[in-house]
Amino acid sequence: MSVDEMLNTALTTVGLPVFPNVYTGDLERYLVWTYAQIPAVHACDAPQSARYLITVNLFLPHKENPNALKRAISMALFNADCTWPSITNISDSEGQGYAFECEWTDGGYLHGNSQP
Amino acid sequence: MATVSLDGFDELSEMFRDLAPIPEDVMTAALDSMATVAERSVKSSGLSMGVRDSESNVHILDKIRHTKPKNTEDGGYSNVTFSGSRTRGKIKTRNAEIAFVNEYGKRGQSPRPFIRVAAESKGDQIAQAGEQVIGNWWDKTSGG
Repeated sequence: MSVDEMLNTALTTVGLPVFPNVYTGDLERYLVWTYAQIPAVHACDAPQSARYLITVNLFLPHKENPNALKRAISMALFNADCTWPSITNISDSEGQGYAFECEWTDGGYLHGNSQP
Repeated sequence: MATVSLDGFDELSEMFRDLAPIPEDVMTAALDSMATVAERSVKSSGLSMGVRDSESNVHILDKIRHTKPKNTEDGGYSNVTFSGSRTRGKIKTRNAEIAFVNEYGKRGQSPRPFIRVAAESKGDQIAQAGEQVIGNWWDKTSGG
């Protein structure tokens, strides 16, 4: 399973619309994921694995209680073999925002193998 | 760089006793060296991700500074920060805030986690810069 598939599958269980990278529509409640990829486990002149530094952003209107969603997103990522995410409040005048940061690794992605 | 070889627990204990009193100026130089590498790493990572202030020609990556190292009882620290601010009309925005929005994103803007990527991918190089300074001091002190 690729990291993209993993994130879409895991985050869909939360019950909010999920978008990769950026969303520019009019929805008030949604999730956006993005990630950076770092090569890891160097051997035989090539990285044998990849570390993914994942960021999932939750956006909500002001005055909504975000706690249940924060818990659901953390559990969804953890159950998909991500590290437990740290959460940073990125709310601004347009609404609430929370950035979830976690990591995931793919054992053979760089060689075309699938995560078991 | 110093080469450390050990033969048993007694020698290990002895080495830690010798390393414990690292002079303050050596600690300061090590911290300064590490902070310099961290600063360059964050800038490099930001450039590769296209981090910028969309409302200004001043590049916020040129505003990365590290503070003068401070020694504490249990080590020391130097902060790598974004200095200054920009003003548009009557609104003043700190460069650190612009960096924060780039790092985490906002509605309609994808995150560019340049600080996190720099810390995760260049951690070894940052530590190595400090080890180099302490290693040079250790070579002189131990006559190695």
